[in-house]
Amino acid sequence: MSDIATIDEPDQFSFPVLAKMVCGGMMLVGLIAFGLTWIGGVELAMTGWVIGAWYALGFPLFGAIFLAMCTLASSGWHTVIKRVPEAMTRYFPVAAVTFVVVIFAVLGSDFYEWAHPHDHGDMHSDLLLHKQPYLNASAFIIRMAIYFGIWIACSYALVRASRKQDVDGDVKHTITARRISAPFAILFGLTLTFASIDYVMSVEPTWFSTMFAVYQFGGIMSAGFAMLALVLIFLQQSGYMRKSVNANHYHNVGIWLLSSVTFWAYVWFCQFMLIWYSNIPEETAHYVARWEGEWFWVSFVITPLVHWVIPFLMLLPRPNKRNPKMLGLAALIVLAGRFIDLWQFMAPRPHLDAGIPHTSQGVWTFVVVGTLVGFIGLFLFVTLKALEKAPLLAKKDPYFDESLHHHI
Amino acid sequence: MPEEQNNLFMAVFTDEDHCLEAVKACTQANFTYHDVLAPYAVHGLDRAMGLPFSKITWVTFLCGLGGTSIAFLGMGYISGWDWPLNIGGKGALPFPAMVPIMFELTVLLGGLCTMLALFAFCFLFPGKQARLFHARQTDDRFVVVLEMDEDFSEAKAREIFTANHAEEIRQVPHDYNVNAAGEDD
Repeated sequence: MSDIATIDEPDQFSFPVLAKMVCGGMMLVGLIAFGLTWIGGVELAMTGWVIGAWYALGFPLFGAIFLAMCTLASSGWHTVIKRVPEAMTRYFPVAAVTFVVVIFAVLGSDFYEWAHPHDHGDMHSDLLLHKQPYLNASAFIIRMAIYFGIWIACSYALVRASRKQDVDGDVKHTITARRISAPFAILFGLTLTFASIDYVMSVEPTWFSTMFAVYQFGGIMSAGFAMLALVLIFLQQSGYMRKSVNANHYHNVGIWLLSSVTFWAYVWFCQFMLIWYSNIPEETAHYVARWEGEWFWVSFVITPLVHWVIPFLMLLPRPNKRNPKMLGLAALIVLAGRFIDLWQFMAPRPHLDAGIPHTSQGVWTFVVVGTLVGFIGLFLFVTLKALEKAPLLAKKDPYFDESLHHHI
Repeated sequence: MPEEQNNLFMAVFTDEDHCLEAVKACTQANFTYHDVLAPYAVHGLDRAMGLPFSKITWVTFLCGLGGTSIAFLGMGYISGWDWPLNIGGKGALPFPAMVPIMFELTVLLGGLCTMLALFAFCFLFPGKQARLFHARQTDDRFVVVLEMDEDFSEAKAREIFTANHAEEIRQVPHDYNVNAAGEDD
């Protein structure tokens, strides 16, 4: 029954020179943009860096949890494409280096206001001092080491089991992956919760939302599936996995992308609606600053439109999910939406003026998108480099045959 | 005056894969299906029979859209126009508060209408007498029923069914029904 013998396609990915140059160019653009944003001040530069670093960290996080979910669910369909999420997780160590810069943002700037609280005798500084036991520089660094330690250890263990299986084809490596995935799924939930509070939510240290980690999870999954679809399309365009990956695998990725963006929209709206309805001042401050003026269009019109409405309507018909062109276009829109979502969260930097929240930075801060381009270039370079290290198809995986015959 | 109806030619299979292979061969031979009956949904059977894609997704989509509009217009009329009430300082037309109800009605109407449309398409209603070609067709047997029209060739059909390990092959009248004949076991 096996079609393994009939697959005569390149087994080893080699990173095309043109793609290398494009990735290098993107990194150069990012570096120049990051340098230029210093003109706007250290806070603007750090806004770009934190958005980019967190955005790119979402991809290896997605890769690791996607592998864990598929392993735990005994899923078969993903086996032909599993080298791509595996390669994505290889970005973790590089992400750790980019987050060292975030430590400098904590220590040496006022990007994270909680890092240098001053007692002005008002309620705002009282609250910051009250949050000191959690939000302080040393605890921040220790937590960062724990998160990255867990992520790197678990993702390396998962990838190692898969590599060993390439050699002997023993089913015990699938069982090992299952044993790693179960605790990782729990640890992932905990680390992602605290990491999203540390790096993103604490930009406005007096604001809080109990939905925040779920909201970031929705965004990470959306952007992750979008990137997975784009990398698959790139691989097929460059002549790899032409026969093994077909419309049915794209269909499944499309279904996941559709459900992820819808999940994101659901959480995005829940978070807003509950705060809007209960109308408690310390919670609403965040939204009031975005409700007035130019940010309204970004936060309440463009974000839901680009992150959910357009991709949702594009991906709803069955033929569109099976068509790589439509799926790729929807994926690009989702990636743009993910940036707009993070940007409208980090850039406005509201402050209280006579008790009324005001934003100190306008929509011109969109220029930080340049820094993000660099991060995406870096991520793609690391991922495609890692993809060269192993055969593209996990032919000895017990689910491989099932995956080839995947049909919906 | 209804046309004279064709007799039917049926084969019973004990295995899903054998049934699927037989159906693929029958489609290739250009036979007309009366029906293919299985105790559960067999993956790929509709495609093997050469059936077009189901239009039921349009029912779901349009009814879901109808649910959204009914919720929005209903709430708008009740709390925005007919008897405006300002609850909690949110104004008479609080859009964010309407979204959960719009969402719920979208899902509810979309789901219910899909089910009702399915019943209508399949002509199912409470108290309907089941028409069975084989007493165990809802248990563990797969039945392929062909129309004996001008495209039909008995020799060819027998050959296909025998090659795919049919348990039973027989010609039956157009209104054949095990249930009515009382052949229950």
